[in-house]
Amino acid sequence: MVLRVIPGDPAQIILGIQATPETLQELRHKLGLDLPLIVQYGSWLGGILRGDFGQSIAYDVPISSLILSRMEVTVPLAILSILFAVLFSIPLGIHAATRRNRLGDYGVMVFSQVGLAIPQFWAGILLILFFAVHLQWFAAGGFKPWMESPLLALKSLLLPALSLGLIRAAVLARLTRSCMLETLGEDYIRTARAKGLAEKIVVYKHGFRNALIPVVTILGLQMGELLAGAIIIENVFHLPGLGRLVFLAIGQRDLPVVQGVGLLIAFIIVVVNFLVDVTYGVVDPRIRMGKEGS
Amino acid sequence: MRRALRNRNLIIGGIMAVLILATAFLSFFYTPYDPNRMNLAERFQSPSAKHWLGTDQYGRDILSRIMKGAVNSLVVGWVAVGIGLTLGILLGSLAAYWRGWRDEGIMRIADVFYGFPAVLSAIFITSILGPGMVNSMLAIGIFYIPIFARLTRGASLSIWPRDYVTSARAIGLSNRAIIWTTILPNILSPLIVQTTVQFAIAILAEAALSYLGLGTQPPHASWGRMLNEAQTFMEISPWLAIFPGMAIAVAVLGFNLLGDGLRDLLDPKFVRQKI
Repeated sequence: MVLRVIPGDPAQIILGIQATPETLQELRHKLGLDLPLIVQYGSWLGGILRGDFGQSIAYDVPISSLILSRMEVTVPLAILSILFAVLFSIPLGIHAATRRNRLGDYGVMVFSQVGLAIPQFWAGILLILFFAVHLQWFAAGGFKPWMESPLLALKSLLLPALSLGLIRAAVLARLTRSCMLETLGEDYIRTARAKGLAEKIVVYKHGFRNALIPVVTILGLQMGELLAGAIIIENVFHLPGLGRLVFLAIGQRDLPVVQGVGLLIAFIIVVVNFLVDVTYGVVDPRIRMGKEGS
Repeated sequence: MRRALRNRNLIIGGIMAVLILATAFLSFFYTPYDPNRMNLAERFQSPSAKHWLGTDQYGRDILSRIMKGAVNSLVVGWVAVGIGLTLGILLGSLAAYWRGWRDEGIMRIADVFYGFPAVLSAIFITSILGPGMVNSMLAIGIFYIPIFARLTRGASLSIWPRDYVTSARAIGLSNRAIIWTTILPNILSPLIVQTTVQFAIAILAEAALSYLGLGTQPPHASWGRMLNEAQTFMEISPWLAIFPGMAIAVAVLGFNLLGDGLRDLLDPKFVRQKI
């Protein structure tokens, strides 16, 4: 509903300033923009229930197909970013926790503080500067479709995913360190050590597994931040993903597209948080849904 | 005082924050060059004794623009935090005092805003209100209201049952006076810490909005906008993309460290729990 009160007339934007009042009125009628707000909202909701997101005003194609075509960029980008974040943060966090108050620990804490202070888009610009401009290993932007060249498609997503993943890794590394320190101070860790288990088994099997729940929770909560970051990063790297689509749609007053992508983002956040809840039971067998107290 | 001087985060963060504040303050009286004056004869100058941080595509001095950009970032940060803090404290205090359905109502509305990522909310709000510095302050500030409301409510709830609140009531203080003179002074510590943290996030959000063209508009200097313009020319002038980003990182790092340091100082319980 709020999106419908955005200043600017979509019909005027489509037809331009030369359009006559009659043609403007005709287009508004065709798009349903002359109906009361509540009717427009009801019709949109009814469409969603039937799986119909409506028609894009700017592109004149069904929004579902527009979203599907852009997901081939955003979904792999999000997956790669999470992969980078986990691959960097968990070893770093464990390394820091097992070397508390030593050089390695301080190094990880500095990485974490600096990572939190760097804007994602600047991280992206620096990566372009180094890997694309200086070393010329990657293109500075753009995307090759998966059907044309899977390798080039993957290559064009590596730098954007790295810029998104590194910032997330800064948060997760700090959290992993803190959770590991707490777990490594528990009695059962002392018992495991007293049994003569190898330090690696104590740290990874007994320590890390018990420290995993808060890390998984924050990883899930970061999904929203990651999708918001994707809007900016896709603009930095000129990637034709959902983020760029919604950003351009806002400028073009293509409200059905903004609503559709907004709904999809909310849906993804809900699904990811549900998956996080399911993961709890896998990570920690003591947590089984519906079996409390048994 | 001795504890403050031993607090590394507080000292380093404080120095960085003061450096940024001093730079912004100085820019009102002095910048090496007029930050908006174009000089096409001196386009893309690399850093030198004449232009310490070089010049941009219009021959404008980068150092002068970074100094002016500091003012914009700080103003957006302060106003956004001010909006969030004022309305958040008001709503949070009332929710904690009222309890019941009014508390539930305020908190559930806060939850709706809370679930949305900061930058995403700011992008949507600025797109509704239109681009510009004032609107970006509002966009970030609106997002901050639920954060401060939740914090104030939570902290206030733990203060209301205390004996000194009962004593204040016994001597005949009105509820408004109790909130103002007894509750608020006792929840200042977490609010101060949260303010510095949100201030740092506001600087990042303002930079992101300006980068996307939704924040401070040209020709006014803004760190995010400078990075956006730099991206086109970074092949020939990489310094254009480095110095404004460094300014953002120093400002955010400074206020983050200051927040961590203040938390250690003002909340000894947190230091004991921290590992």
